[in-house]
Amino acid sequence: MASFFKQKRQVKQREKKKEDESQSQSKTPDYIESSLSANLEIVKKKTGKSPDIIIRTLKIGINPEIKTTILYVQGLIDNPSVTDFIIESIMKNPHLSKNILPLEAMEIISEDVVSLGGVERVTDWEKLFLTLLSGDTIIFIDGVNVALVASTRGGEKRSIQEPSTHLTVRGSREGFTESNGTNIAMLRRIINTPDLWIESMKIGTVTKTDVSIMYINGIVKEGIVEEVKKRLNRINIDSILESGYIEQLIEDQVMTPFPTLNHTERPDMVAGNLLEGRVAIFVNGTPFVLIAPALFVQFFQSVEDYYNRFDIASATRFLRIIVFVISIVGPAVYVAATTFHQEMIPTKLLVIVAAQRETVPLPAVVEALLMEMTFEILREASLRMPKAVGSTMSIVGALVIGQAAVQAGIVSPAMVIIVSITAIASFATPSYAIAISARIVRFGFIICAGMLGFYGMILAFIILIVHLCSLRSLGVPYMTPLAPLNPKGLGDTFFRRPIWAFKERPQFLTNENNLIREGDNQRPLPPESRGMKTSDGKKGEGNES
Amino acid sequence: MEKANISGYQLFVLIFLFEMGSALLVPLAGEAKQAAWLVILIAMVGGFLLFFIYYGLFQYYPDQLLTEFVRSILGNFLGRIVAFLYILYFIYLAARVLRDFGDTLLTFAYPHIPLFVANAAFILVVVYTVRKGVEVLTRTGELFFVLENLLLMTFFLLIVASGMIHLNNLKPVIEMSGTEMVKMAFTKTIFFPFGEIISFLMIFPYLNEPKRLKKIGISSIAAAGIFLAIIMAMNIAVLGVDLTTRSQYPLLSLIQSIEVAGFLERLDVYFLFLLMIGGFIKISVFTYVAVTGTANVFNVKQPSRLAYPVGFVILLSSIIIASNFTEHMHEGLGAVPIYFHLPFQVIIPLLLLIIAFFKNRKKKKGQHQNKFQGGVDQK
Amino acid sequence: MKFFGITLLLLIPLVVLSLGMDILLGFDLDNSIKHVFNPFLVKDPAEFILFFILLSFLVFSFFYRKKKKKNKGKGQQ
Repeated sequence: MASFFKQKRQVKQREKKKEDESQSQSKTPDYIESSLSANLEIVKKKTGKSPDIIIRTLKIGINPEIKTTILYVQGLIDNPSVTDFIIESIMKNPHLSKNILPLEAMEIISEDVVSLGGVERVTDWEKLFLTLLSGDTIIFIDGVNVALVASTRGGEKRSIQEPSTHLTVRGSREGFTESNGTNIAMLRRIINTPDLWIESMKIGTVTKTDVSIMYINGIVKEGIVEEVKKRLNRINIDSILESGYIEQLIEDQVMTPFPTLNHTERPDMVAGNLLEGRVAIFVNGTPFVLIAPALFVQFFQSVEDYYNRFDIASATRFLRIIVFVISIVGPAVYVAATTFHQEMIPTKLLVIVAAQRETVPLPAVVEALLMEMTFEILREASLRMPKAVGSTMSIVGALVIGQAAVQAGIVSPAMVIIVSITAIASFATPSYAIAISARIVRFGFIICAGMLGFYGMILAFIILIVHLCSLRSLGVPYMTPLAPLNPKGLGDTFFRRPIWAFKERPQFLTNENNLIREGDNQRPLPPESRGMKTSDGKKGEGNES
Repeated sequence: MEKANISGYQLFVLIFLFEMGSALLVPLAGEAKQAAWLVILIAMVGGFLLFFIYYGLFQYYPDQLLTEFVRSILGNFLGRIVAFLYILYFIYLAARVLRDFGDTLLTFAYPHIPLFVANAAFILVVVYTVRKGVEVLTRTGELFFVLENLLLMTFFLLIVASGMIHLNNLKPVIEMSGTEMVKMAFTKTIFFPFGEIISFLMIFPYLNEPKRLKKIGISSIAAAGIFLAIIMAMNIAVLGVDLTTRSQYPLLSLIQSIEVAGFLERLDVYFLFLLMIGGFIKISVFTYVAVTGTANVFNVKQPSRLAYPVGFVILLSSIIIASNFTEHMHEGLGAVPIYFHLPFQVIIPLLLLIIAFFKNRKKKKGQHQNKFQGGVDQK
Repeated sequence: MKFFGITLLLLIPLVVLSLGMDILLGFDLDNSIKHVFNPFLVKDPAEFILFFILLSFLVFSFFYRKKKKKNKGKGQQ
């Protein structure tokens, strides 16, 4: 009973709150008034007299003087443009120092005086605050119920730097910054087509974060953009602080350790993905751009694969897959082999391992879990702590794990080797997101191997495969092009087909009417050889001299 | 019926893996000695005949599951009972395969693990898969198809490389008379594994290109039959007739005998992998079929909810089916083909086909282009 | 409760079936019944624990699903 009442009371309170809110909202009028002082009053009230909102009042015209107020947020604006092109030009303009009406003044200011790219007229408060807080400058003129908005966005930003993830030896050194405008411009610089379409929206009831969807019209598959927009519009949350928020709110399946949306810091990677028909989601405030839909094989692709020649790229791809498998099953195989299937280890190796394990007091599963945990602790600690402590940590880590534990006989040296190999392997995957999933899955494998040996491991493997096959990213099955099989798409999975043989875009991602991406006969050929006759019977040119 | 769509290739893969499943491991048609591979091929032709019966039924009711069109043909009450019997049959088969699988596992690698634990772990994986639906099952099948073929391929290479194939073992090719072979093929080998395709009548309606079904079915049965024949021939060529027919798992003996370059030996994991992939696909298909069938007969809206209860029933029956492995095998070779396979795989479908034929002929005369739907509620 | 009924309806014929199979093989009824429950008599503790966990899953699943259904209904409204 008590709880019932409580609920009722809560509901009442909520209703009250709602009423309050609606009242307070109704207090601020929707539209700008003509009286300047009233307007300023509203601004002050709405912003809580925050000191970084600068209100600068000028006087223009003679007999009567017209009060004009310039309003901007310190730090968000580009200082020179506000001082030079707004304040100075208003003060020095000869047209304004005459006998004029307020409306005329506004006309003059908007058309002649403010020499900036964008000048807009705004009448409602909501839009006014939105623009003001994104760095635009507002000009109020006394006696006019319209405000002018001059685009002066700017302020301090991080400059374009080399990205810290997805490093490559060859390829562009540009990385995204935290500013959406800069990031979109970077893409524009790479893909010079008017078909590169961008749609923006504000998400987050409090933060009103800029979120932009980018795609190439004509290449993107029909329906995908609508699906993305639908999912983005569904979001109703107070804040979006990073693209991870968006990712978690629009992904297809929640209960999975695997990433079903990709993210990157590299403009060239985004460009490549857009050209395959994917959609990029830019979120203001983070250098990580989301790419959707994501496929499982995509997490093993690095942009560099396309810059290197295909044989080398294919070899590294293959290596990455092997590395991924090692990072998942490495310790589990050791555990299964030493506890359940000793007969499968070659005799000599078995003797060595058995001799090492003789002094170890723990069963192999516990040993493996212990060592993996230790490694995870080290990794996490070295990631978060201040850089100055780094060297201390690595010494302690190396000594404690590498030396002391083995010498004390708590763990066997073989285990240390296995753990180190898996540790390195888990960092050799190009995508950090999938490396983390591999590390989580690894623990499951170790436990299964410890309970049921290889039987348990294969069961875990089957579950893993089934799980991967059940995932979807924006409706596209996660394991495409492997399952469902897409023979043409296989050319960009475990091996990368040569660029000159990449005739088509992936059919499962791209608009079906626009699949061809290169002409025929792109295969480079050697020049008609010296001395040898061509098919026309002509003698080839270019003698040795 | 759930909303799902599977492609022709996926169905091909699934049938192939299903057929290969446990048949790969046992001495199939072992009594035929050197002619085992021939008997398998004859049985494969018999498998085609059975497939045509099922295909005929499918053509009358291309968008209905087995449990649905049984009711269309026999009427609601009788149809429901027959459908229920089919569900029991599928569950029983799933339980048998699970038991086979568990016993194999225990005898060859894990003598210390109780049967119940091994089976329970396996059925949990199957339940997880079945909950995800037929699309996920087929996609998983696609990946396992590649894996299984890779395994078999390397395995062929290793056998050839280790130089153990003695073609003399395969001689004399034909010791038995033709009638004997045909009799054997049609009384035993045809039911297992070829006749078990009856369960696919619950999956065919999901096919997105029904016109190609005939081609797909025939080609996958043929592929599986030829593969099985090759493997049986290889077993005999390497191990000899004696060892092959006496050993419970000739493939295991074969794998264990591989020794290449001094370190590629004791490849038991190979066998484990083949065993588990085959067992997994087979049990999953049976379980899936049983689950959708049960949902259909009892009008359950979400079949995935039934996965765990049905899986539990399968687990329990796999334990109580027989008190030991010998009994289990004895039943499997003696009673099951006569009392289960024959009626469920041949007699009932044939009767259904005949009734459907007459019913539809009447129908066609009376009404044009109107599919008979009976009292079945389609979801 | 429907699921409980279905589970029983599936399980009982299968038990009867395996009984029948035993009788068919030439055991008498007593022996057959013993055979059916034989596997459950020799269980070691680990098996028992696993069995009861699975059983409780089963029982739990009947109830849990009901609850979930209600919530879903609410959510959809």
